[in-house]
Amino acid sequence: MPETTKHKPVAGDVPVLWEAGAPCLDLRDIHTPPKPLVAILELIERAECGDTVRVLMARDPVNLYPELVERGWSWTKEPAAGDDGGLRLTLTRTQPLPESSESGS
Amino acid sequence: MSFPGSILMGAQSQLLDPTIPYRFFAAALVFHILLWALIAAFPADIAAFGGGPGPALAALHSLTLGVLAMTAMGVSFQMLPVATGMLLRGATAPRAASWFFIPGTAVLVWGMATGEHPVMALGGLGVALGLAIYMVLVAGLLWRILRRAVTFEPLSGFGLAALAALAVALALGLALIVDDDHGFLHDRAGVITLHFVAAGFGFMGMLALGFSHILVPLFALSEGVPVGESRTVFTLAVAGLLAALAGIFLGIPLLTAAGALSGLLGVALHLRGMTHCLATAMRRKLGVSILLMRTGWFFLVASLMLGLATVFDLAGDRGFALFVFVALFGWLLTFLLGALQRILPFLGAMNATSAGATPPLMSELAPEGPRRAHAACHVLALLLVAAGITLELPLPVRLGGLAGLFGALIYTAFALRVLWLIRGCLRAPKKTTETPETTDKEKP
Repeated sequence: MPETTKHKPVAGDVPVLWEAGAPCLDLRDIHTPPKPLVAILELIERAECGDTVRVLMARDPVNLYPELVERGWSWTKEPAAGDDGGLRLTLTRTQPLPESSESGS
Repeated sequence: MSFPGSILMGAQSQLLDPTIPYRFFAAALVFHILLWALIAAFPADIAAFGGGPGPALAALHSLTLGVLAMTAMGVSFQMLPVATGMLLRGATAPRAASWFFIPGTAVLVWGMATGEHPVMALGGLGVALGLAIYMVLVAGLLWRILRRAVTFEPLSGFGLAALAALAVALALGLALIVDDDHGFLHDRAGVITLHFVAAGFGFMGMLALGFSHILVPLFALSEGVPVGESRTVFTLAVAGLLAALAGIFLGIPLLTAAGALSGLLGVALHLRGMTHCLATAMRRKLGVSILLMRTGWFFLVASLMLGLATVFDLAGDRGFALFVFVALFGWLLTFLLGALQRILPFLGAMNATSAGATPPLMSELAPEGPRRAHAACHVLALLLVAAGITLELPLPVRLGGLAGLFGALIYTAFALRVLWLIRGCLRAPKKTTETPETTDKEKP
């Protein structure tokens, strides 16, 4: 199981966990759109997040992928381990944050 | 148009066959052009419109059914599963809704333009069947979302209220079609007002408020509106709608006015929530689409105030016609066009990434230039047609219709370009690599 860290929560109150040297978000119990999306994007836009982020999701976040493309991240996905079901995403930074007129942060 | 690609882990069921939402959007683009063309071609009918079959009624329903309801169906079928993870049960029923609704709307609009009752009745039947399928499908989905929620769920609350209002508006609309031939209604003008309020403020209004709760935070990347605030907006909006409908039905102006006031309070709170949502968002530069949505919000407030003035006969002879125009064109059409400017490229990008393709950046998919040109034409059209209706002058209406038509053509070109680019990237060699069985790797 991911360990708790002292990183500031994302999307208001979503704790940033730590797993195998990379930040991890467990969003399986968050069903309020678009909070899971905001939590992931807020984390990957933090300077200290590194080049790899792991995310546990209840379902495939199809609305996340265009945003990852915009930000120069790739992803792999596989079923989450255990009986809880869901999906495990590994996000990897592939290029520096692109200059996009759409991103104002 | 084919959209190839394999999709893993449930994305396929969240993303419908793209031809389903896009057929509704494509039909809406055609009706958008048609409505402005009708306004430009028959300005005298529009300027003096007081009800009854003719080009003005046809233009009005090209907007309400052809653009607003058509887009609402496409957005509901596709964006609800994407945003909430709740899936539609199969794709046949949404397809069947389109088979009835799209040709039904075309036939109804034709019948309204020519005044042929059998044609109107046939079109009305198609529209009713399409909307009935839509209501059953979306109500089922919203009900499942509501059952999953642990607290008030704004999308389901507003959505179910919108569907209830749609049922009322549909029944009244069918009654008006029958009455046009048989004349059985005692108070036709009252029924027309009820039909307008139930459809415009009830169905489309509630749906716009509900979708704003997910789409505005989704586009702006914001946490959204606090649940307590949403609940208050919902209570005020529903109470306002019920009071307004009851006041019109019972002939009690004070009750109708109380409904409008309750609606105004709800809208004020809603706009405060939306403004806060945008102010705290990760993405601040939303371009001209948010400008159009804000313009729509301005006209929403203006329409409620005009409605209030109309109740007390303070808006002049053309007050009711202006009220209808400001609500349907100023608020709903403007807001919807602003939202659709972002939905179309976003949906296209989702289809591309889920199929393993790399979509163009949003800034390439939706360049600001054409969107600004459309917005300028649209706002100019609104002002000119509103002036023409107020003064009963055909010339400003014709000029406004031409500006709107030009803007609609720009908008259509923008939408077709998005589809063309997405289609191109789906046909390009994929950059996706997949490991056997369980892993889907995608590299932009």
